[in-house]
Amino acid sequence: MITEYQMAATVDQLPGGRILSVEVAGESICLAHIGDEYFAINNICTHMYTRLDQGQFYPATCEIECPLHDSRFNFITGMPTKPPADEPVATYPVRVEGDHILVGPRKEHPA
Amino acid sequence: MREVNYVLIGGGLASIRAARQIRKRDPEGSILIASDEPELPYDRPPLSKQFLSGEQSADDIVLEQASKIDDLRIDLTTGNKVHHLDAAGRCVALANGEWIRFERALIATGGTPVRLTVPGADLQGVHYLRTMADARAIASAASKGRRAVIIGGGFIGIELAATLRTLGLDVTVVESLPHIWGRFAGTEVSRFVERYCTDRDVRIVTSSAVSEIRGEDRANMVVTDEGDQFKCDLVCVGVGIRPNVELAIEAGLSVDNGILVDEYMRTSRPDIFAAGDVINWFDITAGRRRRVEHWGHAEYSGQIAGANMTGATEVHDLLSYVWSDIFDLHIEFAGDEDQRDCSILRGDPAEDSFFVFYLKNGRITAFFAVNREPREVAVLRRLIRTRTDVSTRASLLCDPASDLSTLL
Repeated sequence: MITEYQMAATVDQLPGGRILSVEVAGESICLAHIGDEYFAINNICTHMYTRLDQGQFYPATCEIECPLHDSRFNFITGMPTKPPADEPVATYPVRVEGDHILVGPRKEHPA
Repeated sequence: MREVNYVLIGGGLASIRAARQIRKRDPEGSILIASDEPELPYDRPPLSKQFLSGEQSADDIVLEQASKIDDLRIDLTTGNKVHHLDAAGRCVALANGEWIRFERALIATGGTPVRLTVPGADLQGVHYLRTMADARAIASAASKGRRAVIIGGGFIGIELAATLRTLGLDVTVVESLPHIWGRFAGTEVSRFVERYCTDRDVRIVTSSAVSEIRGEDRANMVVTDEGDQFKCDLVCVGVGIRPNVELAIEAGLSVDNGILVDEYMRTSRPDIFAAGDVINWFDITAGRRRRVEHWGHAEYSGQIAGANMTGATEVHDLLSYVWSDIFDLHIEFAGDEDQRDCSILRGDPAEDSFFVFYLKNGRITAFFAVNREPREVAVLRRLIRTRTDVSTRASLLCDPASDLSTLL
């Protein structure tokens, strides 16, 4: 579990408009680079177990679509934006220091 | 007469998911779920698997804990079947004699297993599986018995066979069609699942209809019209369900192989919606009306109905999916099994990792996936949704090393 900011990736691993799955302190995280900003959500769909980074990424709406059942989640809030998922994914605060992308402790969101 | 904003008839997945959507969109509306079963609403897929085997308890498979139902301010009445639905008067009668007036109603009454009518079908020891009580009865019989005969080689039958075999029983499946899963799977998938089961000592007998069940007071033998006789201590029947449409008919709703609803889950009466196994809806992803008995559809149609009961205009646009777990095998299926003029195999069933695609007019309409990557599943779902013509790319579809995303 992430208890303080930890390095997740380097900026050259994550060009604009792309996503990247990383493991940090045992947590599976999906990073996104949208515009000038970086976002991070938990990479496991809350509907059924699968990796969200395997699905389609929609940078224009800051959404990712689950590969199995087409649920969508917002990268900024973690909220489901299209069913069948009903529960949000956790989000992580992101900081960039030099070439490093760091993620902080997860934030759970009420459904 | 007591009044509620929303009454949800039936205590299964569709009702629970509808209630959650209603609560999200209407924080103040009063919600009543009336369930004919005595338990808290529970998940049915484990009934043929982890619940039957004892790996999961009743508490493990509830859809929402009692405290969560309270948090959502859902009034749940269990063991209290809705006996009457008066559409014009907008009220329902419960088994306990109470009448409830509603503003919007959801009919999510599910289905009832089709009963066998052969001689001996009403003997003790002949089981059907729909409810937790049914699963408990099968588990109890399995704990005392040694030999089980499963009548019907569909999803339920094959899952039951695998679980009972894992519990140590001698298991025979009797299927009337030439292959198990015959109604929706082609021979590649059917043969693969048959081999997987027979390799684990499940006996599978196909093209064989049951003509009689014998026994004094309890079933102890299943006889086929081929003359085969299978001794048994218990019999499980999985030959489909029929939709529970009685309330809808009483209420004067349009019914034809299920309650007819549009893509918004609206019935022929304003203010009455329906969801789950009981509906015959217009599936926009398939371009035709369908009635399916899949978990994913029960969930999604409940969510859409719940949203629209609060005034939203959401469309049921889920690309149909279903899965099955047989021993340690996980099979995913998506799409419309009835639209196919050819099928294509990708990968090698002998290595337990492959796809079978169904195509119609050069477009992928459905697929089975066994141990394949979710990334490929995502691509296939998009190819089906976008009705992409892949007729000139058959060699790519066949090659398991090729990148499917180049088809998009």
